[in-house]
Amino acid sequence: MESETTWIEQTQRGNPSAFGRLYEMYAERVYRYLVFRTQDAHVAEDLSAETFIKAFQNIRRYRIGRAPFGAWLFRIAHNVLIDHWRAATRRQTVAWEDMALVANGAAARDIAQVFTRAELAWGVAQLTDLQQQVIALRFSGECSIAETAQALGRSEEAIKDAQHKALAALRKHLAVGNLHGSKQTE
Amino acid sequence: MDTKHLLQECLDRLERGETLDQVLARYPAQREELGRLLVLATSLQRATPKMPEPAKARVRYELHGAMRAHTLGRGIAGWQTWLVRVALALVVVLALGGGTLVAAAETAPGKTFFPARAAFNETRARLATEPEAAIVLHLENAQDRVDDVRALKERGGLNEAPIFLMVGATENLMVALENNPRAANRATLERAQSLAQTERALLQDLKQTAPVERARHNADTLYQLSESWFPLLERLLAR
Repeated sequence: MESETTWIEQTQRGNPSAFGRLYEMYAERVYRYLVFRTQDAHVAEDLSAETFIKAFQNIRRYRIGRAPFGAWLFRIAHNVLIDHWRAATRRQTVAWEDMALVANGAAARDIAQVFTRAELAWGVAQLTDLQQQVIALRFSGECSIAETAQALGRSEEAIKDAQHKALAALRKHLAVGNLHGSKQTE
Repeated sequence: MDTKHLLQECLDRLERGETLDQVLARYPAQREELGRLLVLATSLQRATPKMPEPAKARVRYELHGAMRAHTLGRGIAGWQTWLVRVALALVVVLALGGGTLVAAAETAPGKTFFPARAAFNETRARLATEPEAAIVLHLENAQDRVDDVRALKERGGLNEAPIFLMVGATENLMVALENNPRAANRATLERAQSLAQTERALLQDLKQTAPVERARHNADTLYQLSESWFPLLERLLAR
Protein backbone atom coordinates (compact mmCIF):
# COMPACT_ATOMS: atom_id res chain seq x y z
CA MET A 1 0.00 0.00 0.00
CA GLU A 2 1.25 3.46 -0.88
CA SER A 3 2.14 5.57 2.11
CA GLU A 4 2.96 9.16 2.91
CA THR A 5 6.66 8.30 2.64
CA THR A 6 6.15 6.86 -0.84
CA TRP A 7 4.41 10.02 -2.02
CA ILE A 8 7.17 12.18 -0.57
CA GLU A 9 9.84 10.09 -2.28
CA GLN A 10 7.96 10.16 -5.58
CA THR A 11 7.58 13.95 -5.40
CA GLN A 12 11.26 14.31 -4.58
CA ARG A 13 12.06 12.20 -7.65
CA GLY A 14 10.09 14.64 -9.84
CA ASN A 15 6.58 13.23 -9.91
CA PRO A 16 4.34 16.20 -9.07
CA SER A 17 1.10 14.21 -9.05
CA ALA A 18 2.34 12.40 -5.91
CA PHE A 19 2.34 15.73 -4.13
CA GLY A 20 -1.38 15.98 -4.92
CA ARG A 21 -1.89 13.02 -2.57
CA LEU A 22 -0.03 14.84 0.18
CA TYR A 23 -2.18 17.90 -0.44
CA GLU A 24 -5.37 15.85 -0.08
CA MET A 25 -4.01 14.36 3.12
CA TYR A 26 -3.09 17.64 4.82
CA ALA A 27 -5.24 20.39 3.22
CA GLU A 28 -7.98 20.29 5.83
CA ARG A 29 -5.62 20.37 8.81
CA VAL A 30 -3.45 23.16 7.44
CA TYR A 31 -6.51 25.25 6.54
CA ARG A 32 -8.04 24.76 9.97
CA TYR A 33 -4.79 25.78 11.63
CA LEU A 34 -4.58 28.91 9.48
CA VAL A 35 -8.23 29.85 9.87
CA PHE A 36 -7.87 29.49 13.63
CA ARG A 37 -4.83 31.77 13.66
CA THR A 38 -6.14 34.38 11.21
CA GLN A 39 -9.86 34.06 11.93
CA ASP A 40 -10.43 34.88 8.30
CA ALA A 41 -11.50 32.13 5.92
CA HIS A 42 -10.34 33.93 2.76
CA VAL A 43 -6.92 34.75 4.14
CA ALA A 44 -6.59 31.18 5.38
CA GLU A 45 -7.39 29.94 1.88
CA ASP A 46 -4.70 32.12 0.32
CA LEU A 47 -2.16 31.16 2.97
CA SER A 48 -3.00 27.47 2.54
CA ALA A 49 -2.17 27.76 -1.16
CA GLU A 50 1.07 29.54 -0.33
CA THR A 51 1.99 26.90 2.25
CA PHE A 52 1.54 23.99 -0.14
CA ILE A 53 3.30 25.77 -3.01
CA LYS A 54 6.29 26.47 -0.76
CA ALA A 55 6.25 22.90 0.51
CA PHE A 56 6.29 21.60 -3.06
CA GLN A 57 9.07 23.94 -4.09
CA ASN A 58 11.21 22.91 -1.12
CA ILE A 59 10.34 19.26 -0.77
CA ARG A 60 13.78 18.14 -1.90
CA ARG A 61 15.13 19.69 1.30
CA TYR A 62 12.84 17.57 3.47
CA ARG A 63 14.66 14.60 4.97
CA ILE A 64 12.47 11.58 5.62
CA GLY A 65 12.86 10.33 9.16
CA ARG A 66 14.35 13.48 10.58
CA ALA A 67 10.97 15.00 11.49
CA PRO A 68 7.37 14.04 10.70
CA PHE A 69 6.25 15.48 7.35
CA GLY A 70 3.29 17.11 9.13
CA ALA A 71 5.62 18.98 11.46
CA TRP A 72 7.70 20.20 8.52
CA LEU A 73 4.56 21.34 6.70
CA PHE A 74 3.13 23.14 9.73
CA ARG A 75 6.44 24.89 10.24
CA ILE A 76 6.10 26.24 6.70
CA ALA A 77 2.49 27.25 7.43
CA HIS A 78 3.68 29.07 10.54
CA ASN A 79 6.36 30.93 8.59
CA VAL A 80 3.86 31.85 5.87
CA LEU A 81 1.58 33.20 8.57
CA ILE A 82 4.35 35.28 10.13
CA ASP A 83 5.23 36.72 6.71
CA HIS A 84 1.58 37.55 6.15
CA TRP A 85 1.35 39.38 9.47
CA ARG A 86 4.56 41.24 8.78
CA ALA A 87 3.27 42.33 5.38
CA ALA A 88 -0.12 43.40 6.68
CA THR A 89 -0.38 47.04 7.67
CA ARG A 90 -2.09 45.90 10.80
CA ARG A 91 -3.12 42.60 12.23
CA GLN A 92 -6.76 42.29 11.35
CA THR A 93 -9.20 40.31 13.35
CA VAL A 94 -12.44 39.37 11.73
CA ALA A 95 -15.15 38.11 14.01
CA TRP A 96 -16.20 34.53 13.65
CA GLU A 97 -19.89 34.05 13.36
CA ASP A 98 -21.47 33.74 16.74
CA MET A 99 -22.39 30.16 16.93
CA ALA A 100 -23.48 28.01 19.78
CA LEU A 101 -21.07 25.29 20.65
CA VAL A 102 -20.85 21.84 21.73
CA ALA A 103 -21.45 20.09 24.89
CA ASN A 104 -19.87 16.70 24.98
CA GLY A 105 -22.23 14.51 26.96
CA ALA A 106 -23.64 14.93 30.42
CA ALA A 107 -20.26 15.57 32.00
CA ALA A 108 -19.68 18.63 29.88
CA ARG A 109 -23.06 20.10 30.69
CA ASP A 110 -22.53 19.30 34.30
CA ILE A 111 -19.06 20.77 34.59
CA ALA A 112 -18.96 23.75 32.36
CA GLN A 113 -20.88 26.17 30.34
CA VAL A 114 -20.88 26.06 26.56
CA PHE A 115 -18.75 28.65 24.79
CA THR A 116 -19.38 30.45 21.55
CA ARG A 117 -16.75 30.75 18.84
CA ALA A 118 -16.48 34.46 19.51
CA GLU A 119 -15.82 33.89 23.20
CA LEU A 120 -13.19 31.30 22.42
CA ALA A 121 -11.55 33.56 19.82
CA TRP A 122 -11.38 36.36 22.34
CA GLY A 123 -10.06 34.08 25.05
CA VAL A 124 -7.36 32.63 22.79
CA ALA A 125 -6.28 36.13 21.80
CA GLN A 126 -5.41 36.78 25.48
CA LEU A 127 -2.89 33.90 25.55
CA THR A 128 0.83 34.17 24.92
CA ASP A 129 2.01 33.63 21.37
CA LEU A 130 3.44 30.21 22.17
CA GLN A 131 0.22 29.16 23.89
CA GLN A 132 -1.81 30.32 20.88
CA GLN A 133 0.45 28.37 18.53
CA VAL A 134 0.17 25.22 20.62
CA ILE A 135 -3.60 25.52 20.85
CA ALA A 136 -3.91 26.14 17.10
CA LEU A 137 -1.65 23.25 16.14
CA ARG A 138 -3.09 20.78 18.62
CA PHE A 139 -6.81 21.48 18.36
CA SER A 140 -7.29 23.01 14.91
CA GLY A 141 -4.37 21.48 13.01
CA GLU A 142 -4.94 18.18 14.83
CA CYS A 143 -1.19 17.79 15.30
CA SER A 144 0.11 15.23 17.75
CA ILE A 145 2.33 16.31 20.62
CA ALA A 146 5.35 15.08 18.64
CA GLU A 147 4.34 16.99 15.47
CA THR A 148 3.65 20.15 17.46
CA ALA A 149 6.99 19.88 19.21
CA GLN A 150 8.87 19.44 15.92
CA ALA A 151 6.90 22.22 14.21
CA LEU A 152 7.73 24.68 16.99
CA GLY A 153 11.23 23.43 17.70
CA ARG A 154 10.42 22.57 21.33
CA SER A 155 10.51 19.43 23.42
CA GLU A 156 7.40 17.31 23.86
CA GLU A 157 7.44 18.09 27.58
CA ALA A 158 7.45 21.81 26.80
CA ILE A 159 4.45 21.35 24.51
CA LYS A 160 2.50 19.39 27.13
CA ASP A 161 3.30 22.11 29.63
CA ALA A 162 2.25 24.90 27.26
CA GLN A 163 -0.93 23.02 26.36
CA HIS A 164 -1.92 22.66 30.00
CA LYS A 165 -1.09 26.28 30.83
CA ALA A 166 -2.90 27.52 27.72
CA LEU A 167 -6.11 25.68 28.55
CA ALA A 168 -5.96 26.75 32.19
CA ALA A 169 -5.33 30.37 31.21
CA LEU A 170 -8.08 30.26 28.60
CA ARG A 171 -10.48 28.88 31.17
CA LYS A 172 -9.56 31.71 33.52
CA HIS A 173 -9.91 34.40 30.84
CA LEU A 174 -13.29 33.09 29.78
CA ALA A 175 -14.49 32.95 33.37
CA VAL A 176 -13.41 36.56 33.95
CA GLY A 177 -14.95 37.62 30.64
CA ASN A 178 -18.26 36.13 31.61
CA LEU A 179 -18.08 37.56 35.12
CA HIS A 180 -17.88 41.02 33.57
CA GLY A 181 -20.65 40.13 31.13
CA SER A 182 -18.46 40.83 28.14
CA LYS A 183 -19.27 39.30 24.77
CA GLN A 184 -16.20 39.95 22.76
CA THR A 185 -16.74 39.35 19.09
CA GLU A 186 -14.00 41.46 17.57
CA MET B 1 1.01 11.96 37.67
CA ASP B 2 0.74 15.74 37.39
CA THR B 3 -2.13 17.52 35.67
CA LYS B 4 -0.37 18.25 32.38
CA HIS B 5 0.34 14.54 31.85
CA LEU B 6 -3.12 13.53 33.01
CA LEU B 7 -4.57 16.06 30.60
CA GLN B 8 -2.61 14.58 27.71
CA GLU B 9 -3.66 11.08 28.70
CA CYS B 10 -7.30 12.19 28.67
CA LEU B 11 -6.90 13.86 25.27
CA ASP B 12 -5.38 10.66 23.90
CA ARG B 13 -8.35 8.69 25.23
CA LEU B 14 -10.81 11.12 23.63
CA GLU B 15 -8.94 10.79 20.36
CA ARG B 16 -9.24 7.03 20.58
CA GLY B 17 -13.04 7.39 20.78
CA GLU B 18 -13.89 7.41 24.47
CA THR B 19 -16.56 9.90 25.53
CA LEU B 20 -15.83 12.66 27.99
CA ASP B 21 -17.97 10.92 30.60
CA GLN B 22 -15.97 7.70 30.22
CA VAL B 23 -12.65 9.53 30.41
CA LEU B 24 -13.57 11.54 33.49
CA ALA B 25 -14.91 8.47 35.27
CA ARG B 26 -11.32 7.19 35.36
CA TYR B 27 -10.10 10.17 37.38
CA PRO B 28 -12.72 10.94 40.04
CA ALA B 29 -10.32 13.00 42.18
CA GLN B 30 -9.42 15.32 39.30
CA ARG B 31 -12.79 15.14 37.57
CA GLU B 32 -13.71 18.78 37.93
CA GLU B 33 -10.36 20.28 37.00
CA LEU B 34 -9.79 17.92 34.08
CA GLY B 35 -13.40 18.27 32.96
CA ARG B 36 -13.13 22.03 32.59
CA LEU B 37 -9.95 21.74 30.53
CA LEU B 38 -11.27 18.93 28.35
CA VAL B 39 -14.52 20.76 27.62
CA LEU B 40 -12.43 23.69 26.46
CA ALA B 41 -10.23 21.44 24.34
CA THR B 42 -13.20 19.84 22.61
CA SER B 43 -14.81 23.25 22.16
CA LEU B 44 -11.65 24.48 20.46
CA GLN B 45 -11.57 21.44 18.19
CA ARG B 46 -15.12 22.01 17.07
CA ALA B 47 -14.89 25.80 16.86
CA THR B 48 -12.68 25.82 13.79
CA PRO B 49 -14.66 25.61 10.56
CA LYS B 50 -13.97 22.87 8.05
CA MET B 51 -12.41 23.73 4.73
CA PRO B 52 -15.21 24.26 2.19
CA GLU B 53 -14.90 22.11 -0.94
CA PRO B 54 -14.71 25.13 -3.33
CA ALA B 55 -11.82 26.48 -1.25
CA LYS B 56 -10.08 23.12 -1.42
CA ALA B 57 -10.58 23.04 -5.20
CA ARG B 58 -9.25 26.57 -5.61
CA VAL B 59 -6.12 25.87 -3.57
CA ARG B 60 -5.66 22.62 -5.49
CA TYR B 61 -5.89 24.55 -8.74
CA GLU B 62 -3.34 27.15 -7.64
CA LEU B 63 -1.05 24.40 -6.46
CA HIS B 64 -1.27 22.57 -9.77
CA GLY B 65 -0.43 25.77 -11.62
CA ALA B 66 2.57 26.45 -9.45
CA MET B 67 3.68 22.82 -9.63
CA ARG B 68 3.57 22.89 -13.39
CA ALA B 69 5.40 26.18 -13.66
CA HIS B 70 8.02 24.86 -11.23
CA THR B 71 8.52 21.50 -12.92
CA LEU B 72 8.57 22.99 -16.42
CA GLY B 73 11.35 25.25 -15.27
CA ARG B 74 13.29 22.15 -14.25
CA GLY B 75 12.81 20.60 -17.69
CA ILE B 76 10.70 17.59 -16.82
CA ALA B 77 9.64 15.01 -19.35
CA GLY B 78 6.80 15.86 -21.73
CA TRP B 79 4.45 13.18 -20.47
CA GLN B 80 4.71 14.56 -16.94
CA THR B 81 3.87 18.03 -18.22
CA TRP B 82 0.93 16.53 -19.99
CA LEU B 83 -0.28 14.80 -16.82
CA VAL B 84 -0.23 18.01 -14.86
CA ARG B 85 -2.03 19.79 -17.66
CA VAL B 86 -4.74 17.17 -17.71
CA ALA B 87 -5.08 17.44 -13.94
CA LEU B 88 -5.33 21.20 -14.26
CA ALA B 89 -8.00 20.98 -16.94
CA LEU B 90 -9.97 18.45 -14.91
CA VAL B 91 -9.88 20.66 -11.85
CA VAL B 92 -11.25 23.57 -13.87
CA VAL B 93 -14.12 21.51 -15.20
CA LEU B 94 -14.91 19.87 -11.87
CA ALA B 95 -14.62 23.07 -9.87
CA LEU B 96 -16.97 24.92 -12.14
CA GLY B 97 -19.69 22.35 -12.67
CA GLY B 98 -18.53 20.84 -15.92
CA GLY B 99 -21.10 18.07 -15.86
CA THR B 100 -23.98 20.33 -16.77
CA LEU B 101 -24.34 20.42 -20.49
CA VAL B 102 -28.06 21.09 -20.85
CA ALA B 103 -28.96 24.44 -22.40
CA ALA B 104 -25.35 25.37 -22.40
CA ALA B 105 -24.70 26.42 -25.94
CA GLU B 106 -26.46 29.76 -26.09
CA THR B 107 -25.57 31.35 -22.78
CA ALA B 108 -23.39 34.40 -22.36
CA PRO B 109 -20.89 35.58 -19.74
CA GLY B 110 -22.71 36.50 -16.58
CA LYS B 111 -25.66 34.22 -17.31
CA THR B 112 -26.50 31.18 -15.23
CA PHE B 113 -25.16 28.57 -17.62
CA PHE B 114 -21.98 30.36 -18.60
CA PRO B 115 -19.61 27.82 -16.98
CA ALA B 116 -21.69 24.99 -18.46
CA ARG B 117 -21.40 26.50 -21.94
CA ALA B 118 -17.65 26.58 -21.64
CA ALA B 119 -17.66 22.96 -20.48
CA PHE B 120 -20.02 22.03 -23.31
CA ASN B 121 -17.67 23.49 -25.91
CA GLU B 122 -14.76 21.78 -24.23
CA THR B 123 -16.58 18.45 -24.38
CA ARG B 124 -17.27 18.93 -28.10
CA ALA B 125 -13.58 19.43 -28.68
CA ARG B 126 -12.68 16.35 -26.65
CA LEU B 127 -15.18 14.23 -28.54
CA ALA B 128 -13.90 15.26 -31.97
CA THR B 129 -12.40 12.18 -33.63
CA GLU B 130 -9.96 13.99 -35.90
CA PRO B 131 -7.05 15.58 -34.01
CA GLU B 132 -6.96 18.54 -36.42
CA ALA B 133 -10.67 19.25 -35.89
CA ALA B 134 -10.21 18.91 -32.12
CA ILE B 135 -7.37 21.44 -32.13
CA VAL B 136 -9.47 23.93 -34.09
CA LEU B 137 -12.38 23.47 -31.65
CA HIS B 138 -10.06 23.94 -28.68
CA LEU B 139 -8.69 27.07 -30.33
CA GLU B 140 -12.16 28.49 -30.93
CA ASN B 141 -13.21 27.66 -27.39
CA ALA B 142 -10.13 29.34 -25.97
CA GLN B 143 -10.76 32.42 -28.13
CA ASP B 144 -14.38 32.52 -26.87
CA ARG B 145 -13.17 32.41 -23.27
CA VAL B 146 -10.84 35.35 -23.89
CA ASP B 147 -13.78 37.27 -25.36
CA ASP B 148 -15.89 36.33 -22.32
CA VAL B 149 -13.30 37.70 -19.91
CA ARG B 150 -12.99 40.92 -21.87
CA ALA B 151 -16.79 41.35 -21.97
CA LEU B 152 -17.13 40.70 -18.24
CA LYS B 153 -14.28 43.06 -17.46
CA GLU B 154 -15.98 45.83 -19.43
CA ARG B 155 -19.24 45.20 -17.58
CA GLY B 156 -17.44 45.22 -14.24
CA GLY B 157 -18.67 41.73 -13.32
CA LEU B 158 -15.41 39.84 -13.49
CA ASN B 159 -14.38 37.41 -10.77
CA GLU B 160 -11.84 34.61 -10.81
CA ALA B 161 -14.07 31.88 -12.33
CA PRO B 162 -14.03 33.15 -15.98
CA ILE B 163 -10.28 33.71 -15.67
CA PHE B 164 -9.81 30.10 -14.62
CA LEU B 165 -12.01 28.98 -17.52
CA MET B 166 -10.07 31.08 -20.00
CA VAL B 167 -6.69 29.72 -18.96
CA GLY B 168 -8.12 26.20 -18.63
CA ALA B 169 -9.37 26.34 -22.23
CA THR B 170 -5.97 27.47 -23.50
CA GLU B 171 -4.29 24.79 -21.40
CA ASN B 172 -6.50 22.21 -23.13
CA LEU B 173 -5.46 23.60 -26.49
CA MET B 174 -1.82 23.20 -25.50
CA VAL B 175 -2.44 19.60 -24.39
CA ALA B 176 -4.06 18.84 -27.75
CA LEU B 177 -1.13 20.41 -29.59
CA GLU B 178 1.42 18.57 -27.51
CA ASN B 179 -0.33 15.22 -28.03
CA ASN B 180 -0.75 15.75 -31.77
CA PRO B 181 2.16 17.95 -32.80
CA ARG B 182 1.66 17.25 -36.52
CA ALA B 183 -2.10 17.76 -36.58
CA ALA B 184 -2.12 21.56 -36.69
CA ASN B 185 -1.17 23.48 -39.83
CA ARG B 186 0.88 26.64 -39.75
CA ALA B 187 -2.12 28.97 -39.89
CA THR B 188 -3.67 27.27 -36.86
CA LEU B 189 -0.39 27.42 -34.95
CA GLU B 190 -0.04 31.13 -35.72
CA ARG B 191 -3.60 31.72 -34.50
CA ALA B 192 -2.77 29.78 -31.33
CA GLN B 193 0.36 31.86 -30.79
CA SER B 194 -1.54 35.09 -31.34
CA LEU B 195 -4.21 33.92 -28.87
CA ALA B 196 -1.57 33.01 -26.27
CA GLN B 197 0.05 36.44 -26.60
CA THR B 198 -3.32 38.20 -26.32
CA GLU B 199 -4.26 36.13 -23.27
CA ARG B 200 -0.93 36.74 -21.58
CA ALA B 201 -1.30 40.48 -22.12
CA LEU B 202 -4.83 40.29 -20.72
CA LEU B 203 -3.60 38.41 -17.63
CA GLN B 204 -0.85 40.98 -17.18
CA ASP B 205 -3.52 43.67 -17.23
CA LEU B 206 -5.84 41.74 -14.89
CA LYS B 207 -3.07 41.40 -12.29
CA GLN B 208 -3.52 45.13 -11.75
CA THR B 209 -7.04 45.95 -12.84
CA ALA B 210 -9.34 43.01 -12.06
CA PRO B 211 -12.10 44.35 -9.81
CA VAL B 212 -11.84 41.60 -7.19
CA GLU B 213 -8.67 41.10 -5.12
CA ARG B 214 -8.83 37.34 -5.48
CA ALA B 215 -9.18 37.66 -9.25
CA ARG B 216 -6.04 39.83 -9.30
CA HIS B 217 -4.21 37.28 -7.19
CA ASN B 218 -5.27 34.38 -9.41
CA ALA B 219 -4.43 36.33 -12.57
CA ASP B 220 -0.91 36.68 -11.21
CA THR B 221 -0.57 32.92 -10.67
CA LEU B 222 -2.04 32.14 -14.07
CA TYR B 223 0.15 34.72 -15.76
CA GLN B 224 3.19 32.80 -14.51
CA LEU B 225 1.64 29.59 -15.76
CA SER B 226 1.01 31.06 -19.24
CA GLU B 227 4.75 31.50 -19.77
CA SER B 228 5.01 27.79 -20.44
CA TRP B 229 2.83 27.97 -23.57
CA PHE B 230 5.38 29.73 -25.74
CA PRO B 231 8.24 27.20 -25.87
CA LEU B 232 5.78 24.60 -27.17
CA LEU B 233 4.32 26.92 -29.82
CA GLU B 234 7.74 28.10 -30.94
CA ARG B 235 8.94 24.53 -31.23
CA LEU B 236 5.96 23.56 -33.37
CA LEU B 237 6.26 26.66 -35.57
CA ALA B 238 9.97 26.06 -36.10
CA ARG B 239 9.36 22.69 -37.72
